[in-house]
Amino acid sequence: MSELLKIEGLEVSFDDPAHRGEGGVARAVRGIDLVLGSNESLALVGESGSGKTAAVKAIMRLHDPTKTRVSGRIALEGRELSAMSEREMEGIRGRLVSMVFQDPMTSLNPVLRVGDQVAEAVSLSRGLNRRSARAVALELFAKAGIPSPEALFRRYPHEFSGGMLQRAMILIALAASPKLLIADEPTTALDVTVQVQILELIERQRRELGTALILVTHDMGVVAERTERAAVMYAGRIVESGRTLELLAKPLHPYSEGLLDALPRPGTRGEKLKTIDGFAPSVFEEAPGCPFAPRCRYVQRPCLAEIPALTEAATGRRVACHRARELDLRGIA
Amino acid sequence: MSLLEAIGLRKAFPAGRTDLLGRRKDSLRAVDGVDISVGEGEVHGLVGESGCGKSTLGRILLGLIKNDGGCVYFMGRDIEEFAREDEDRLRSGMQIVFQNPYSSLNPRLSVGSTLREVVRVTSRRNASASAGRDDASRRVDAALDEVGLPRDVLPRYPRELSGGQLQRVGIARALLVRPRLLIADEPLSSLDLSVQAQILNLLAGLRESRGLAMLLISHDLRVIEHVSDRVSVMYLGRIVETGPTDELFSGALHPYTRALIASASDPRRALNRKTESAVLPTMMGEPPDAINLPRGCRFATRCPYRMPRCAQEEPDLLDAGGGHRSACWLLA
Amino acid sequence: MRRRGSMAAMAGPATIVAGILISAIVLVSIFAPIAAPYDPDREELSSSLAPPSSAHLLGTDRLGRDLASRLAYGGRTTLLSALLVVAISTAVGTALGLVAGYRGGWVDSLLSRAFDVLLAFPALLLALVVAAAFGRGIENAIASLSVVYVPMITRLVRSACLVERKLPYVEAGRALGYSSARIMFRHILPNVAPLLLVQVAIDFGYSILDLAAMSFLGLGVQPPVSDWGAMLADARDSLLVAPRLALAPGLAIMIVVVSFNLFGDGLKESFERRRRR
Repeated sequence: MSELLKIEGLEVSFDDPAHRGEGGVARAVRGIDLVLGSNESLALVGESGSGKTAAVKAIMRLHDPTKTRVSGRIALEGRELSAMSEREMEGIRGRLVSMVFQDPMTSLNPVLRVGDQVAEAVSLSRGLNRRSARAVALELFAKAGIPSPEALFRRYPHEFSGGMLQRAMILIALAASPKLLIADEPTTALDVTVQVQILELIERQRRELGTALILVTHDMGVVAERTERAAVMYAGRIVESGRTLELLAKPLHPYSEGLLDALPRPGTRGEKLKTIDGFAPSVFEEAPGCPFAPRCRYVQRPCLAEIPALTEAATGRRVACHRARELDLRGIA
Repeated sequence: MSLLEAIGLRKAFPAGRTDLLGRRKDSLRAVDGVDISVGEGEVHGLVGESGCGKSTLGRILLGLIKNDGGCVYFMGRDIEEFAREDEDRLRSGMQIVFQNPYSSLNPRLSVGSTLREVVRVTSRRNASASAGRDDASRRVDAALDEVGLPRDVLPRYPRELSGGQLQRVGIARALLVRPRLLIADEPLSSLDLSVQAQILNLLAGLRESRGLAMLLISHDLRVIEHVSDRVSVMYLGRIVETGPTDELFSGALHPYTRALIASASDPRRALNRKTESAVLPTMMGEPPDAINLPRGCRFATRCPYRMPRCAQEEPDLLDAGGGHRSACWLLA
Repeated sequence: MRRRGSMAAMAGPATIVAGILISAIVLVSIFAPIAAPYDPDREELSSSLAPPSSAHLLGTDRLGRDLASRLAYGGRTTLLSALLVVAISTAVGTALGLVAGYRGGWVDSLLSRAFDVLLAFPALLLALVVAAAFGRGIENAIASLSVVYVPMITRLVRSACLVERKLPYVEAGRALGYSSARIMFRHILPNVAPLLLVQVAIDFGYSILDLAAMSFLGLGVQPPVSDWGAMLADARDSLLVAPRLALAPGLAIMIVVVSFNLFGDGLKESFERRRRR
């Protein structure tokens, strides 16, 4: 497996004049390193405000350059993305890297038929004319097990259920057989049973095309069955990473433990769930120590003084915690 | 009779294509013959996916939407009659918490204003309770304590608070009138996972401290299983299975319930499996068009256990013993 | 933390200039008795049509009356009348819009149809018809214009109301047993107010135009009271000889109307910016 994506020291910050009193700059991503091999799947787990969406949007360079500052290196197949012109980026978006968003309804133009929009995307990404693109699109839909695609093509977005639309969006995203698919909370707005179908669709397509996957989510439960590796983000930094199943069975960072505790387990009915007190730090804040310290159950003096670096704790496992070696955290095993 | 009892509820909305005069020709049977009850101090979980009618059902129970057929009884009285004769008591008896914390509060009023208004308006109606300024403040403070919010949220506006805090305010508002029953319509869906846990603890705790009964509406099975005493599963306007939580989850009878449980993401399942890709059978496809429901059992089109009878007759809830009932011909 | 007054802080330069102009004109009108050098009705036939001088800043009209003073007093009449038109139409229109939007039903259907018909006519035309029927005079002009402006406001408030009433906070109010009146006026109205304010600002400008037009046609103020529209009418005879007699009130009207429009636009922008956050 070769290295597909390598991110080093990625930082993303937004200008926010409304918060001038607090510095005026919202630092959403504060330096992350990530490596993804081709055909690998990685879960990026974090809650709102963790910076996960800002990070993946930076990979596709979707931020507004007038208001956003992105620094650090993002290399796709060895090519440095930050050095590319907008024209070159357009060649990459939709072709080498594709993205699927949370709410499919807002990703489509409400006044155009779904079929036309799918055909357009396919024709652009594969360089075909409209008619061939349409044929290709129909074929893709049929292969994905969507019943009567021709009838669906003639309808408008609002006539579809969220699940159906999301399937369409995934197929569009994968139309050009990209090397990397980024799915940003693709199932959060959908029902459970549809969630399964969507995730299975992504999985099947991935296997067939050999596409790598970054699955952004706040739900640890979704992660388990669908990804090989996982990285947990908190306050703009990666606090833990490793193989998904290992991380879930035995987390090394107190925040990961907290996230797992928040999942109601069968058989513990009536028991209070262990929760994480307090709130995530504001994006404007610049505390000296570990960003999780104020809420950490295991906090000690050194935690408040210095930000822990992401270091290797075991093969393939990294964690950013001063006390990682001493702590014996509880997973879901 | 239970605290809340509803029998044979029906509600249809005009839908589908319009005729020349702009009127809609078909109707969407959002609630199509539902019986449901909640006992004193009981938590009843109502599970279903989007479009099954659970939110509509919740609003009918509260009296916010008028039902077409069937009756709702609260504390033994028909709520229509209740509303006519003693609306205050009815409104104080049942309250609601919404899904979206941001739009459940008036954005132009501070938290304190919203809460104080509740006390002012509702106590003016109850001649017995006087609501001097001090008394109102005291009750608001007490409500804040109960939901775990500090006093300094009072002067703040909804846009300044987080989702979790806003949801707590919503719960505080409902608690101010001292209800016996709380209808929580997807109260956790818009929140982050760790915040969900906090709010879930809060809701569960209210049952302990106040003996508050709850109808918890959600599509998240993990949450429902964690706090409910009884569970009802809704599909396309009907209850297809109901029973005590443990029984329902360990031995679900209706194929839809089984598929729901199988679909709920459970990390433990992944850990316990040797290979990562084995998946339990789930149903295929989408629910049928809600406006043109098929004949017979409405789940038949997606059911792996479909029999000829299923396409002919629609099953009622059949008794399986111990309060566990399932609307499926497999039981017959 | 954003404070409520920060709206002003987000206004663009055009809005600020407009705001200043409006304030200036309003102030001059209010303080006309002190600011104006002469009694506007004082005739001095000997100095008829005198050009601007140190004695008369803008000169005099045909009857020797000081133009500057007449402008100030005329402004008073015009602005006051416009204020009344806007106040009445907004009050009535808002109440009707809230009821139609919140309660719906046959009231809504009836009002909407009726207003759709009214809106098809140009405001001025309708006002003229009403005035012609009920006679001349500034009171009739104000009344007829107020009636004519109501449909627009009602429609605006109604559609905003339709959006708000679906939101959970309104449902919560109903669940708490709040009366419809309370929900409409204490909850929905404040949320509708920003849009309304914008329309009010713009309506102010248009009502000045319409009032001036009516006075110009002789259906508004009656002599000896005068406003800018009447001044324009008076200036017709002396147009070639002393164009400033028409220019002064004309420019005044134009400046005020444009200022109100700019101000209204500025308000709309700052509200939209706030909402986008």
